[in-house]
Amino acid sequence: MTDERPQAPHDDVPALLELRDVEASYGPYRALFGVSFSVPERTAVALVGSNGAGKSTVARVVSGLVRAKAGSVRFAGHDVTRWPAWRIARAGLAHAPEGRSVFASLTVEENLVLAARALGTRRTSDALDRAFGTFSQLAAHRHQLAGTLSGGEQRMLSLAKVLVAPQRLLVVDELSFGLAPAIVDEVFDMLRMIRNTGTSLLVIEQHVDRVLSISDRAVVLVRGRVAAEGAVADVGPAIERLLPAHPQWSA
Amino acid sequence: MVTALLQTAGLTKRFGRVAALSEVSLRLDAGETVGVIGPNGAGKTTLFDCILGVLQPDAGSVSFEGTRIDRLPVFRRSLLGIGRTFQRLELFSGMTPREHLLVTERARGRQGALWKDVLGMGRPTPREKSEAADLLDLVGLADVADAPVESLSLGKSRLVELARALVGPPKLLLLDEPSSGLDDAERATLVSVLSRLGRRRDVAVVVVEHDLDLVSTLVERLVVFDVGRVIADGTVEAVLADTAVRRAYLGVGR
Amino acid sequence: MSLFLSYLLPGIPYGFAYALMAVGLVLTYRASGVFNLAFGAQAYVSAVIFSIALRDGWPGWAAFVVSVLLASPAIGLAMERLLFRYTRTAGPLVKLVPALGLLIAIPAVTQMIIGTATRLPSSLVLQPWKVYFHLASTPVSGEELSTTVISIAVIAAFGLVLRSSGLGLRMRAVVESPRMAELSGVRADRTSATAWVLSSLLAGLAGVLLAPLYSTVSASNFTALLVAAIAAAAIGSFTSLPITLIGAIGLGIAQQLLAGYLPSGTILSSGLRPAFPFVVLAIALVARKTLRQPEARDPLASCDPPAVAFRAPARMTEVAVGSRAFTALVVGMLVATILVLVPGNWEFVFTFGIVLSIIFLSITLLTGMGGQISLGQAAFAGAGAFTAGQLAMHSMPVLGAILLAGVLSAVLGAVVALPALRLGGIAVGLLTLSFALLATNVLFLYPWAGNGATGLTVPRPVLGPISFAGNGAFFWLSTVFLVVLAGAVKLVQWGTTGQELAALRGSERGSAAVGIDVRRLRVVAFTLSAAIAGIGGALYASLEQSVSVNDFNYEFSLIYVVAVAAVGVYSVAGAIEAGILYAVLMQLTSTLPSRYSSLLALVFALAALTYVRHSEGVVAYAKAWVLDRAEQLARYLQAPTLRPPAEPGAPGAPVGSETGRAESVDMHAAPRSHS
Ligand SMILES: Nc1ncnc2c1ncn2[C@@H]1O[C@H](COP(=O)(O)OP(=O)(O)OP(=O)(O)O)[C@@H](O)[C@H]1O
Ligand SMILES: Nc1ncnc2c1ncn2[C@@H]1O[C@H](COP(=O)(O)OP(=O)(O)OP(=O)(O)O)[C@@H](O)[C@H]1O
Ligand SMILES: [Mg+2]
Ligand SMILES: [Mg+2]
Repeated sequence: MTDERPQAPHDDVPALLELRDVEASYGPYRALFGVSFSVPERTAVALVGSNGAGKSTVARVVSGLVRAKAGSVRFAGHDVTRWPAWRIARAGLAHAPEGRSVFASLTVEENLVLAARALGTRRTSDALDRAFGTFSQLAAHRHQLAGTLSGGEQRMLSLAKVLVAPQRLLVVDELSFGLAPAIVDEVFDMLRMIRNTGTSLLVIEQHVDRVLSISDRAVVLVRGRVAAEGAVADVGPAIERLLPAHPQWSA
Repeated sequence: MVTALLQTAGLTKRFGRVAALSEVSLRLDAGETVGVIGPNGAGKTTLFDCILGVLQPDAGSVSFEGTRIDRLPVFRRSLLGIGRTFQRLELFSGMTPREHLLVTERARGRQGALWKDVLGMGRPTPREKSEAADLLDLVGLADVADAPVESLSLGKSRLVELARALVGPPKLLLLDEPSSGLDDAERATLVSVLSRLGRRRDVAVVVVEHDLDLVSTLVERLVVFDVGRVIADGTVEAVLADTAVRRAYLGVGR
Repeated sequence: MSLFLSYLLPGIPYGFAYALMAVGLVLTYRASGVFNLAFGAQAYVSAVIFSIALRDGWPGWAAFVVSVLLASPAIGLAMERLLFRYTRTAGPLVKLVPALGLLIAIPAVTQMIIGTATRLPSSLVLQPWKVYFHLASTPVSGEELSTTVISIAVIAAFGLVLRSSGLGLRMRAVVESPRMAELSGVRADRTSATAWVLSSLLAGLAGVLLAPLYSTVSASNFTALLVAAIAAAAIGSFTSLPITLIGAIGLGIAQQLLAGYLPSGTILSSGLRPAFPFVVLAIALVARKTLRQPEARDPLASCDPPAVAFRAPARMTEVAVGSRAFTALVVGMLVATILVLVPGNWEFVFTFGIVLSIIFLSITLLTGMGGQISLGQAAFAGAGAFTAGQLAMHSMPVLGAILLAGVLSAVLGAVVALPALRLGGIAVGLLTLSFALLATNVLFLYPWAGNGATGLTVPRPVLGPISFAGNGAFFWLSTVFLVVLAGAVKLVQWGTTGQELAALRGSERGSAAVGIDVRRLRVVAFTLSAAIAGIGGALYASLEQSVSVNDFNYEFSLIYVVAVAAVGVYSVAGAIEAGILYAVLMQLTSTLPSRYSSLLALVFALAALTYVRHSEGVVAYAKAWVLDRAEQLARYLQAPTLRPPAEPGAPGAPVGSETGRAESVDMHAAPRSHS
C-alpha cells in the first residue's frame, strides 16, 4: 500500500500547519513544553506518544479549544494562535476530538446538519448522503438521539461530522477508539482516500503500526515534548526506542 | 450440577424498532473468563446494563448464584459482588483516584453508617488505605493517585474505572472495552492484571473488547453478538474460524 | 353553564399571560441552559419603563420601542455578557445562582434608578377598558383581547423563526457544548447572545402586555406570574412549546374556576388559589418522565482545568498552623468585642448571624456536599420555628421544643425528598420551591401551624437554674448549637456519608455501580439538612421571641441560597461567614437613611457577578489566594536559593496563576507528596 503514496513529501513543500514552541497548560497543570512541528500540504502526519504525553492537547491547541500559553500556531498562512475555534474551523481545519464528541441531545441527523450548515456546505442533503454512505450503520439510527447511540456508533458520528464538510486539514484524535475491526479497516481506507484527494491529515492513534501505515510523516511526543519528527521511515527506529516495547501478544 | 455464577435466560431489550438484545441466554461459571465481541451496536453494553440493572429488560431473567436478581436495584446487585466498568466513563468528578477507591471500599464493605460519621469514626481505616494503595500500584496509577480525575488523560481515566471495579474483589467483573484509549504499555498492564484475575477461581470476568489480539490472549471462551443475538459461543479458535463470525465482525468475505 | 363560562372566560387572558412567560422561560432554558428565574424581574423592568414613559406623556409606540425593543434586550445582553457567558459549561447550581441574585436585585435597583409605577394608563392596541363584545354574556374587554391576540402571534412567530432558520438547532448545540459547536464553525458567543436578546424581548413584551392585568405594577405580581409560568413550562417538560402553551391556558382557566367554585373566606380558598400553580408544578415535575433524564454533560469538559477543589487543598504545615491561629484570633476577638465592647443591639445582630449560620449550614450540607439544589430551606426553618412555638405554647420546655422542632423538620425533609428522588438538577430546586410556596401560602396560615400573619410567640429557653432570657446568654446558647452542628456536619463530610455524597455528585451511575444506595443517600441528605434548618428556625424564633409566616417567606429561601453560594457553599466555614456577613449587612443597611435601603439588593447583584467567576465562593477564593501567597512566602523564606531556575519549560516553573493556585504542576513530573 506504500506505493499508493503520491510522493514522499519534502521539506520544501509549504507547511499547512506549523507549531512553534507551543506551551500549553490546564490551569496549574502543564501539558506541553515547547512543541514545534509542521504538517505540510497534502501530507498525512501521525502523532504518536504514550498515554498522557499531550497528544490530545496538541490537537486542542491546533483547533483553538485550548489556547497556547506561549509559542505560535500558523494555519494556511494565518497566525491562528489567538483565533477562536469557530474561526479556525471556518478556515478549513476539522477536528474530531477524542471520546464521545457528539451532541447527545440532538438526533443523529441534526448533528450532521449542524456540522454541515455551520461550515457553509451548500447542499445539506449531499453532505448527509455522503456521511450515511460512509457509515451505513448510522443511517438506520437517523432519528435517534445521539446520546443513546452505542459507544462505537457515537464514534462513527463524531467522524462523520468532520467528513460532511470538505476541509484542508483533518485532525482526528484516537481514530480507532471503540470501533469494531471491520469499521476500523473502512475508516483507514477512507482516510487514505481523503489524503489522496489533497487534504492533509494529523492523526492520533494508539495502534502505532496501523497509523504509520497510512502516514507520510510522524511526530513522537514524550512527556509534552517532541522527541522525534520526520518521515515515517526515518523515525521508525526512534519510535521503537521511545515508546515502551510492544508486548509480545500484539507482535 | 453446579449452579452457574451468572445465568441469563431469554433476555430481551427493545428500543423502539431496534432490538438491542433478543432472547439472550448465557451461562457463566465461577472463575471463568469470557470475551464478548461483536460489531458496534450489537448489544454488548446493553447486556451489561441489563445484568447490573441500569436498564430493565423487556423480557427474560438474570440469576446470580442461583437466585433471580432482575428485580433488585443496581446497588444491591453490585453489593452481591458484581463490579463493572463503563464504556462511557462514569468517574466521580472532583475526586482523586485514591478517593475513588476509598469510597468504593467503604460502600462495598458496608461498614459505613451515619452515626459512625457523627462520632468521628467515618474516616478511612488503615486497611482500606493500604488496599487502595495496592490497587493503585497494580494498575499503575500510583503517580497520579492524588490528582483530580479531571486532570487525567483519557487512558489514565479508564484505568481508574478499572481499579474501581476491582475493589473487593467482585465475584463477577464486567469490563466494557477496557483497552480502548490505552497505550501499548498500559495494555500490557491490563493483560497482566486480567490474566492474574483469570487464574483466580473466585473471580469471573466478562470482557467486551474490539481488540482481538488482546482478548484472545486472555480468554478461552468467546461469545459473539450480532444485532442483539448470540451468533457464536465457544473456544477462541472455533469461534474465530466460524464464517458467520468472520462475516459479521471481521469484515472478511463481505 | 353560563356561570361556568363566566368563571372560565376571564381565565383565558391569564392563561395567555402565563403562556407568554412560560414560552419565554422555555426558550431561554433551551437556548442558554439557564432556568432564568429572573425572567419575571426582567418583565417588571419593561413594565415600569413603559408605564413611566406613558405617564410622562410619551406616545404609546415610543414607550413601546424604548421599553420592549431597546431596554429589555439591552438588559438581556448585559446579563449574558456579565454573567451567563461564564456559566455556559457549568453545572445547574452555578447557572441558577446568578439568576436568583438578579431576581432579588433587579426590582430593587429598578426602583432605585427609575422609580415605581402605578397602574398602566393605557394598553397597547385596543382600548383597555372598552368592552368589545360579549362571549356567553361575559364582557370581553380590550386588554383581554389584545393580550390574547398578541400572545398568540408572538408565540407563533418565535416558534416559526427557531424552527426554520436553524437558529434553534444552533442554540441547542451551544447549550450542550459551546466548544463542540465552535468546532463545527458555530459562533457560540454570538449564538448565546442572540438567545438572551430574543428571550429578553419576550420578557419585555410580557411585562408590557401583562401589567394591565394587575392593579399595580409590582415585582411580586411578576414573580407570582413566573411561578405559574414555571408550572406551565414543566407541563411541557421545559422543551415543547405547544404543550407549554396548552398547559398555561389550562392553568389560567383552572385557577379562575377554582376561585369561582371554592367556598370563599377559608384558608383553603384564599391560600389554594395562589398555591394552585405550585401544586401543578410539583405534580408536573414528578409526573413528566422526560424531566428525569440527567442533563447531557459537555463532552469537551476536559479542555478545562479541573474545577477548583470542593475542599481546600492541603497546605504546608507552617501555613496551615498560621492560618488556624489567625482564624482563632479573629474569632476570639470577635467574641470578645461582642460581649464586652459593643452596644446591645450588635450583640443581637451577631446572635442573629449565628442562628442564620445554622440555617445556612443546612444549605452547605444539602447543596454543597450533596449537590442537590434546594429553594425551600426557609420553609424547613419555618416548620422548625412553628413547631417550637406550638410546643412551647403547650408548656413544653423551650430547649426540648427546639430539638423536637429539628425532628419534625427532618420528617418533613424526608417527605419532600421522596418525590425529589427521581429528579435532578434544577428540577429538585423547583420542587422544593413549590414546597416553600405551599408552606407560606397555605400551611403556615393555619392556627395549628404558623397562625398566619399574627404568628406565634416563642419564649427564650430556661435550663434548670440557667436562664437564656438575656441576649448575652442566648448568644452563648446559639454558639453552642452552632459549634455542635458545624462539627457534626464536618464529621459527616469527612466520613462515609460525605464521601458517598461526593461520589454521587460526580456520577450517579458510577455510585450505584459501586454499591452506594443512591436513594437512601439522597433522603439522608435532605433529612439531615431539614433537621438543621429546623433547629436554626426554632432558635431564630426564640431569639426574636415572636415569629410569623413573613419571617419565612419563600423569598428568603432564594436569598439564603445566593448568600451561601456567593460566600462559599462547599465548606462549613462558608456557611458561618455568610451568616455573620448577612446579619451585619442587614444591620448596616437598616441604620442607613431609607433611600439607601436597596443597597442590600445591590450586594446581591455583586454576589452574582463574583459568583460566576468564583463558584467556590468569593470568601473561599480570597482565602485560598491569601494562603497561596503565604505559602510562596514561606517557601521563599525557607530556601531562597533553592528556587527552580526560571528557564522556560523547566518542570515546576510557575505559570500564570489565574486559578488562584500559585504553584504549577508538571503533569509529566513525578508527583510531590501531598502531606
Ligand atoms: N483538563 C485537564 N486538566 C488538567 N490536566 C489535564 C487536563 N487534560 C489533560 N491534562 C494533563 O495533560 C497531559 C496531557 O494530556 P493529553 O490528554 O493531551 O494526553 P494524551 O497524549 O492525549 O493521552 P491519551 O492517550 O490518554 O489520550 C496529561 O498529563 C494530563 O494529565
Ligand atoms: N435509549 C436508546 N434508544 C434507542 N436505541 C438505543 C438506545 N440505547 C441503545 N440503543 C441502540 O441499541 C443498540 C445496542 O447498543 P449497545 O450500546 O448495546 O451496543 P454495543 O454492542 O455496546 O456497541 P459498541 O461496540 O459500539 O459499544 C445500538 O444500535 C443503539 O443504537
Ligand atoms: Mg488523548
Ligand atoms: Mg458498547
